[in-house]
Amino acid sequence: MQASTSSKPAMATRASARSAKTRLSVVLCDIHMPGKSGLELLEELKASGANVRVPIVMLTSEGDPVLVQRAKLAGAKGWVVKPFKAGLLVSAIQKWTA
Amino acid sequence: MGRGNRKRFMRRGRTEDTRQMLASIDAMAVAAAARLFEAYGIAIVEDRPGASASLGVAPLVSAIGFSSEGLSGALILALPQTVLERTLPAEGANLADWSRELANQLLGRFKNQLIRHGLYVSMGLPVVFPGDLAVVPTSRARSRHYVFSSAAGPVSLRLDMDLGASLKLEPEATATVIQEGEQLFF
Repeated sequence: MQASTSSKPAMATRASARSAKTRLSVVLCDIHMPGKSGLELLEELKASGANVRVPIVMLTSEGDPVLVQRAKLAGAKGWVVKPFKAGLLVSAIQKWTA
Repeated sequence: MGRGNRKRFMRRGRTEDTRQMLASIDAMAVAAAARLFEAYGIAIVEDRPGASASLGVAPLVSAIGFSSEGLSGALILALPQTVLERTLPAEGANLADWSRELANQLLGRFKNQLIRHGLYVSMGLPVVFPGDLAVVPTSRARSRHYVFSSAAGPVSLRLDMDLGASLKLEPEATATVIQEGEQLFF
């Protein structure tokens, strides 16, 4: 039997490496990812580098208020619990990137 | 009350507590599954306890672990291709990825309900493999199996759990949980 955690292993680690070189407009980030959690990626992006000011929205199945508070303190711009309707999120992104 | 009687009385009390907690967990798991699939466009109805589902061709099983001081285990979701295809939010998306995502979202909903009862669990990463629930051996003390019917095919869910001595579910409270579909902007 074969099992895998993702078709793109260590996704957050790769995103982290790429964002060090690339200036991003917005980041939509899950919490549970292989390699590195979304909260770790958020804290890393907000600590230094080219994307300190980029709006980061956490997209997750988690509604845990402790995690929401941690993300807010780390500088996240939003918290969206799946499944979600895109309209509101798209409007917010358009406002931040205008 | 003699020592033997007191021991028996306490044991009966614990058994009753466990039975009530399992009934609460059953209700939360069934509600979480029904709402998840409803959100993706299919109504599921729980079959009688003990029912087994024939998942047809090429079903996928996704499993995801959870842990807390009082409760740990795994949520295991087995779905036929028909259910995966009917709920797929984007055409052409990978069915194995989607199967994993459904298990992740189902555990998220279950976790949110546990939080309302004062229990905070940590979630792991989902894994996926071909087969049905029979390919996953039960290694936990408690295993609860729920089978649902839907117009798209059967949905089979198992919760394998260890219930710690410290496990306690508070009466449902209005704990601040961010609801599924809710969007907060800071």
